[in-house]
Amino acid sequence: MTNLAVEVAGIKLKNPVLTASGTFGFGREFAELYDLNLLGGVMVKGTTLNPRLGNPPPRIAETPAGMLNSVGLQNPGVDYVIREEIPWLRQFDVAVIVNVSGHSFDEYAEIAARLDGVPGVDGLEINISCPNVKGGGMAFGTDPKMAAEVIKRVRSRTQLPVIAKLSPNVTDITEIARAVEAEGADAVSLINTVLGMAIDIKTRRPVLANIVGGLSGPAIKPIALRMVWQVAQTVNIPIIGMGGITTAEDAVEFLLAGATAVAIGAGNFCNPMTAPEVIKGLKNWLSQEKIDDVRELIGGLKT
Amino acid sequence: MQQTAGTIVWNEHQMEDVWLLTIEVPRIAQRIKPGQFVQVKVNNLLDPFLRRPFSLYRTFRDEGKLQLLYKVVGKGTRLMTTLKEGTSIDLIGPLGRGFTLPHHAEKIAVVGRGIGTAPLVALADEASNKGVEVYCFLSAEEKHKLVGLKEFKEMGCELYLHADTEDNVKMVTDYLKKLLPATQFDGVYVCGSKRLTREVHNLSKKYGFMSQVSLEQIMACGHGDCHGCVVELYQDKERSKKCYKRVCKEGPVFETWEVVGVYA
Repeated sequence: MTNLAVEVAGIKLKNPVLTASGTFGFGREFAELYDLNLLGGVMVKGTTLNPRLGNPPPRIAETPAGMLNSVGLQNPGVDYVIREEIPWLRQFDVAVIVNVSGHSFDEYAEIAARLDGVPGVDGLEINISCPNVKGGGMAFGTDPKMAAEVIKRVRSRTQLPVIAKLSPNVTDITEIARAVEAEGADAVSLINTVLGMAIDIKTRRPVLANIVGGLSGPAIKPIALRMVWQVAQTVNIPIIGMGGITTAEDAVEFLLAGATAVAIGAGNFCNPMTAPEVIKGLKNWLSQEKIDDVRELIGGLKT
Repeated sequence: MQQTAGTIVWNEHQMEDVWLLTIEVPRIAQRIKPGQFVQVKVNNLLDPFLRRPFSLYRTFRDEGKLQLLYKVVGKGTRLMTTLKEGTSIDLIGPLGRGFTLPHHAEKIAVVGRGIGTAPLVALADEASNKGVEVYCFLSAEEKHKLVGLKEFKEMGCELYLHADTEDNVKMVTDYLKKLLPATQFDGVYVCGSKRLTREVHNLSKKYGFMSQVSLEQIMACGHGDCHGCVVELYQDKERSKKCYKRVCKEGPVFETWEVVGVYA
């Protein structure tokens, strides 16, 4: 019997595959396509204190083996999420991690406090890396002092496991990882999208109304893998690795680089069955390789 | 909504950049309604990364087949022209909110421009099968680029055609305008032109008929999760507040009052 179960920041996952925030909504549509009980966990859409309308359209541009988005955290606000979405997700035997995004230290802390003790919430992913919101998001995740302060404030207002979602748009991601670890982050998740842009040469205008957006998909996988490996060398807290994963083999790469669990992001768009297929593929690969515990792979990179 | 594999029955060049794809996919063909769409994975690779959304063109429910009419505009549609008979193709559908055909409808009009006429063919098909009279007002840059002529004729629709190169009328809705005082339509449906959408909406206000428009937008997921395909529309009939609505979920078919004055 192959063991697929892992534990991240005290959150028990029956397998190491989650769905990444912003690519899965709250799971309602995907539940029409497959049994969400198959998943290790769900990281729900970025949630802010008040409802957010998001950025003006167009918000999507396809790029080679990937896509840019500038959605800008359109969401119904934390109170609605607590009232409508979390109770719905409780019907599934799956870890629910709420992605929290704010414009100020107080906003992050307030959302964390409201989610603390809500039945069905297993952890918080603190989004200090959204490239699509002005005066917030990534601004907190590209400065180690700011990142540390967010985690400190959130930590003081919740008993829930705190996972800091890191931005790749920095010179040295290990510096940010160390800063959030020092303030009590229980885990880190990485990477968020890579800042990019696309131009329509006919109109000579940016494709996205926001001009710039976040790049995701297989195009960013090597960047994500490199950063997971670097962070794994630096901190002692577990890592949830993500960025362009579409196959079980991709997931194995992230585990070897040092991730304890992985998340499927843009892959959900290209093929909504990606997460269950990665889980099945991982199981097959492990038994083929005669590995009886997925945890043997974590950080197993030989250098 | 389901994700399922279909089989390509044929993939035929129609005219100019327009191709017709016939797919055997009973699980979707038997459920999809006019105005709804499917998300097509054009190959098994990671590039092009996203699926391509196409409105239903026609269904042959008994045979479990559906047709998509597509225009070659970029990488994805260019690749689609190479799809061979017998090949398997990954589809998600039916998706979105389709056209509303009132139960009591006796007479409707469709107003289409260019490739935007495609979903209106599906609607005319369903309506004429139910015994509803369909008037078609079709527009294109040039006469040979008019879409769906043969199909509309076979359905016995009344046709009014207009090309930009002709100047007998300014736009195809001028024919509709002439008919309206004496003819009552239970619904007018438009696709493919913001100008025609505005015109249909203005006529709907004057004559009080229901009017709907099908929109298109670049999509990622296609089923409501990513919020990537929103357009700014009016929130409610008072038209005082605007909001973002998802073309894939709240649409692609909207009421013209939601659209005109903001998006069109």
